Amino acid sequence: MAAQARVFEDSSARADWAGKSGREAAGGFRLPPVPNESIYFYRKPIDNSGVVRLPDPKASARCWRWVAAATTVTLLLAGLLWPGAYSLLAGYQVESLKGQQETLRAELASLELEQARLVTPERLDQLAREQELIDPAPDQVVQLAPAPDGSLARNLSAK
Amino acid sequence: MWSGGQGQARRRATWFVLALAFWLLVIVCRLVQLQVLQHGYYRAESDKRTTRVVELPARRGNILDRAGRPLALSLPAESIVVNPMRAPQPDVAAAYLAPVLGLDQRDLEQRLITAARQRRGFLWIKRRVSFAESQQLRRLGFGWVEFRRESLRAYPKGILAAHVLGGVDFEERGNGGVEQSFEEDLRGKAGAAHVIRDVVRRGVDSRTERPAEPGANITLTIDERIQHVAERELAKAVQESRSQTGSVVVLDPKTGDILALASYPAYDPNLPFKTRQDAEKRANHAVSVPFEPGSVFKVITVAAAMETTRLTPETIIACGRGRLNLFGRVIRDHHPYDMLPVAGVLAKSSNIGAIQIGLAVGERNLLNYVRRFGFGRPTGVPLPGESAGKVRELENWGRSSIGSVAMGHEISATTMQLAQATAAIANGGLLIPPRLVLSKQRQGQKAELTPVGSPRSILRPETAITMRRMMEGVVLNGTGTLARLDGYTAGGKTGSAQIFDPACRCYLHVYNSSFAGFAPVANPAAVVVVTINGASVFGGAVAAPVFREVASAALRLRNVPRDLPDNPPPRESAPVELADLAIPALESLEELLPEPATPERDGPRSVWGPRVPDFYGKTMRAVLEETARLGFPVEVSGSGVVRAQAPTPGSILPHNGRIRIVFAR
Repeated sequence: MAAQARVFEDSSARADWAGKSGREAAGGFRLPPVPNESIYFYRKPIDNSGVVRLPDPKASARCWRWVAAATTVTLLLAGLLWPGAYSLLAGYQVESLKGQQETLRAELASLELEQARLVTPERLDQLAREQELIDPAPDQVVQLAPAPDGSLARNLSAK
Repeated sequence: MWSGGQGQARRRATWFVLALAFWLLVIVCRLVQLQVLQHGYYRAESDKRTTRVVELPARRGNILDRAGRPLALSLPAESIVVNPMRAPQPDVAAAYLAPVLGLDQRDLEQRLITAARQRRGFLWIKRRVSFAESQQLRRLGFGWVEFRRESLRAYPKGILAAHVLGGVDFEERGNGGVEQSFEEDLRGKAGAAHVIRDVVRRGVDSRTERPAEPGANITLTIDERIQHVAERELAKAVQESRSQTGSVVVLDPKTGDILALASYPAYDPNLPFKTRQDAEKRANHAVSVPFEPGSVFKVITVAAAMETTRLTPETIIACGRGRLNLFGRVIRDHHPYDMLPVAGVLAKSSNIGAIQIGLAVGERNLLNYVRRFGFGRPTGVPLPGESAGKVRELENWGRSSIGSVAMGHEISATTMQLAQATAAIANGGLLIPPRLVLSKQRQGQKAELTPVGSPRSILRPETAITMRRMMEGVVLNGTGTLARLDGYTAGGKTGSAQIFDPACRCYLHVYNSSFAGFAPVANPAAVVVVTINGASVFGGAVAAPVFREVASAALRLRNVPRDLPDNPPPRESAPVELADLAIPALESLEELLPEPATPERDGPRSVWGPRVPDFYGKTMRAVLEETARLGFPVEVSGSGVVRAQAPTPGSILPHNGRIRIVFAR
């Protein structure tokens, strides 16, 4: 209320400064061109030096209680929500790893297939022909039956 | 004035608080309704939107050869799906997808436009793409492209053993060969999992409801190396002789294991069949296509004679100088013979000789032995579409049918049946069902071995040995000289049956040329039967060389010790007669009989080798059993007990030597 009073005072002061009363300046009861121009367009010197904040220990305690309560509630909520959120994030991670596992399995299977393709008898046959390899003649094949002492070659015995 | 304003403010505050409380009450009530009373309903609705039950496909079992080498594999694959309603402009989508997936851009664009016009929400772009394609597309990160997990059946060896393996259809169900016969074992059982996804279809959580059970791995008795040689030589023979089709079966005579089964023409099971020609290539000529076996069937006639008559290999048969009138039907040999021993009838493949032997056996006995050898019923090999062949009942035989059957006509058999019958002679008279599957193994379980089929005795062991000796004569002196092996003894029989054309109701001058043989003679380790259909040459000329190559490879790969010297005597340079429809004139009976061993022929006396047992006083059965057990080649004559033997007991049997035993009362 005090501030409002000061505003009214300022308005009359501005009229004084212009040399006429406000009603005269406005040509009788003429409306100002912009509403509330005195508020928006003119600086109002307000002196707050007289306003003094008095210490209020009760309000301070109430404030700290509110802070403590809000923190507790926040922590409780976080504690309740954290496992769920963590589980969700872990779920994303697990599913992503499962996908990677499947991809690696598919890659392994395709490599096994490639390996099997590389050792087909037809391909080996062709490679052998390119290297001019031939089937051994019957007299070039010697069957070595292992002797009782474990030796394979006829002239060698196991040590 | 202040007290009045304060009261009004309090009333307003009270109304405000009451309105707030009412509003909160409404919200709480609504929450109770939604969260408590209708919890189940809304939970289900929520799950419907976020949780999906996904089928976990079961991996199809692998098919392996006897050494564990993969012949058919299943690997995870992905199929590409697009929702045409969500996809961007069809031309843009096609421009991105076509180069990556190797598709025609215009065709793909048209498919997308058509699907969008029909307001379809699902369109297969490409099924079972390669791993590289899938990865490349995934890297582009299109939200409107979906990857569906599937399985791809691959045959890494291409055409190798294609007729044994068969193939699968687009749903990965077997549609031929082992794939079809063992569908239940190979397929496995699909599992199920609950998968929770977020709004951008990222996986949040998954829970396996029922794990997938992969199919069993099946190990075949096939040896891929022998199979390759069989297919290679068969293809070469068919192409060079300008024949139409052919088949080869290689058996282990002791267990009935099928070591190789080749059919020509071949096909690649990796490729889907589209044309009628592709479908024809899938016919398995070894088990599904019976044919008139011709002269190769004379083995059955002679074996029946050895069992049911007093005929011996040395018994002379009158061959009527190449002409026979059988109940009004005139039958001719291509070359006239006057007299031949039974062994000579087989070696020279005399039709009239075979008919005379068949007449001695009699219709009933002959039919009985035909059936005993397994003709007229499937061998039981686990391949779809096996033919039983055709053996007519006795009441359906004509008067001259005995002559036809004796030389392999008016009867049809498959290559597999011929192999089974030849194996019975090779293993000492036991008919053993062929075995194709060695074992089945499910994941985490022990391998389940397939037992060897129950053998059935159909011949006396001494008859089997006599037959082996006579069949060796076919290779040494008869129509099968091109089947002679280096380093191994071999026995067999050629066959060339003219093909009957139902259109002209006449026999054409094209043949089902065949050769059924085994090696080594004393202790056979491999039976090989070769059939070339539609050949213009005889079995001895076209099928016997295939036998030689396949049997040589099979014996070498199976580490069978040689039973012939390293440096065999050079073969005669004189042209050999390979025609088993026609028989050349025989100079003398002695040339069919084995020559006695001489130091000049056999080289210097052996100082190393097995010692000859003492057979004096033993019966023929005892001698044959002992020599078969020890693996000695033996030549017997007479009947009663052993009165003479050469070499003498305790002496060393020279390499390639035989024990000659004379029996007398």
